[in-house]
Amino acid sequence: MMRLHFKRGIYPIFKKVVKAETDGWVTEVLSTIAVPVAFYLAFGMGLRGHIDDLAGVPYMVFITPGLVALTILLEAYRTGAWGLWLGRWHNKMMNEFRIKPISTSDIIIGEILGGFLMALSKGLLVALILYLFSPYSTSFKYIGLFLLYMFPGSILFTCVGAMVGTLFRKPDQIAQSQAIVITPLLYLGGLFFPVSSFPDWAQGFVRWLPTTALFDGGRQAFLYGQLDNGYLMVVSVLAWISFVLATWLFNRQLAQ
Amino acid sequence: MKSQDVAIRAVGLKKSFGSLQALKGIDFQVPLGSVFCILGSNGAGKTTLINLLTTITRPDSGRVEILGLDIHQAPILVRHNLGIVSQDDHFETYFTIWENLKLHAELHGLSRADYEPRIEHLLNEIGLWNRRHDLSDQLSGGMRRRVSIIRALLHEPKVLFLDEPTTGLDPVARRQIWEAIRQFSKQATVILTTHYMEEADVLSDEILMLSHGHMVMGGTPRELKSRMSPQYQYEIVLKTPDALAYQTKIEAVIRENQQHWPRGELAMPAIIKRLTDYRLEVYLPTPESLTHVFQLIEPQDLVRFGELTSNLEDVFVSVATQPVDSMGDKTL
Repeated sequence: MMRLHFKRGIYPIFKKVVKAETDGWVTEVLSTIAVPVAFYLAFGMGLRGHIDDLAGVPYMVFITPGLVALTILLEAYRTGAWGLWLGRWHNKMMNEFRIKPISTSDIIIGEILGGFLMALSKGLLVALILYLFSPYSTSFKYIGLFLLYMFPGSILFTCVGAMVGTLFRKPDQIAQSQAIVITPLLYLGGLFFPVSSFPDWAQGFVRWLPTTALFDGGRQAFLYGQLDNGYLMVVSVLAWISFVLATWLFNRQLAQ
Repeated sequence: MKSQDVAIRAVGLKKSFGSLQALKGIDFQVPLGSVFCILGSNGAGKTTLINLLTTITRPDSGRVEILGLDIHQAPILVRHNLGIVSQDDHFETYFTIWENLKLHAELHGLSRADYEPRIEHLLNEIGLWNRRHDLSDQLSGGMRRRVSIIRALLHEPKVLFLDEPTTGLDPVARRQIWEAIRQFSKQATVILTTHYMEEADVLSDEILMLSHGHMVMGGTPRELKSRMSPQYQYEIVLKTPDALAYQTKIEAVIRENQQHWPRGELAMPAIIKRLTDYRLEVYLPTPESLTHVFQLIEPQDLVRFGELTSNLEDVFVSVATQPVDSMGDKTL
């Protein structure tokens, strides 16, 4: 394992990611909140009166934690994938970073931490906006439990994005990987419905999906203050595995 | 050369990519404080060699020491002493020039108190202080190149690698870069790759020529040019318009005496070129022929009798077009 350099390696790279993501912040905020707010208005308000309460809460409240998790997931994936792709294949800044007195692990960890923090911040911004519309109040404790899922979730999808950005040379391959992997995960993870609606045999499968952990587990924490250790384990273990894999893949690719 | 006088020592460097042998055993030393140029046609192994020297890739065998440090045992320590200007200018597109330079200073571990005045000084030196808040794509190619160079100098490296630093620049910008290299070479060692032979000739103290992964020639520009001269070449400039008469006399004396010279029958034919009525170029096959030619010429007729040397481009073309089989490895 290479030695890490926080002050002159990880931290400047992390700051670079944050700077790139907050540059033109108005556009950044609008593009971040557009999708979850549109879902919220369309499904939460548009279907109000047509859908009974789900899990004991109005439908618009039911989908709120999932929309926050969706924002974090998509932003984490986007930041990881495009950040790495730009640096590796487009402006080729990775070629500059690797000749500095830092390790390649410093570079990828800085990128992942930057992507993780930006995704989490954007998720919290969306949470704040949706909360203003929502006829529901929660407690700080519940928010804390919700964040227990979101932390590893944000790391997991930043790492998945980072692997895609490291590997794929063409930008359309990033869009394709999102369509093939991320989008099905979103719809199977119980964002718009309870996973208990699936047949028994399917529930056994979807419980192992990281998106189910984020959407269903996050909802239980946010609305009822309940922590599902199974979900927490799934998302935490996957986050750790993806972090190790993303770091290994990046080091290996750059060594070649 | 004493070890403290050596900036870079490379021994037996070999590198393959699959079945392609990019470097086939390279040995050389770069003296401290010199400008050392690596020449070679496309695919000769220059970029692979630069990547090895700058710790980006590892050799399959062989070793490199920079300032006495083995670059693969202590790559981070070595990189503190390296400044690298790559072929293309890479910048963070969202960042201004100032922010780009600041990022690189931080990656070298410089504190704000150190890097801010240094960036200001260097930007002023290259005349771009007023453009510090511009994005990189708002600058011309020459300006970006100069920013790349000062970016590599921010941490005051002891060895500077310049990979084709003037490619694509106009002659004015090229001269500015040359001046910057000359200035820097007063403080440190410069490793240069270039496709411009004039640049290598003007700037380098020593040159290494690569071809098909072999080191085929090395030495000072003057040594390389004289080593490559296939014949003894002289220029004769006359006071009077008698070049034709001298041409006839020289040809006759060579015809008459050639059989008596050692290996005279095997030697290349002498060539006498009359360039004007006052000027001749003679290409002689052996040193003995020079004695005969010299005896023919009346000193009072002469303005000049001087040796001609090949230019570096002749040397380069000759090396680059040599068949692979005929290449032997040299050591510098």
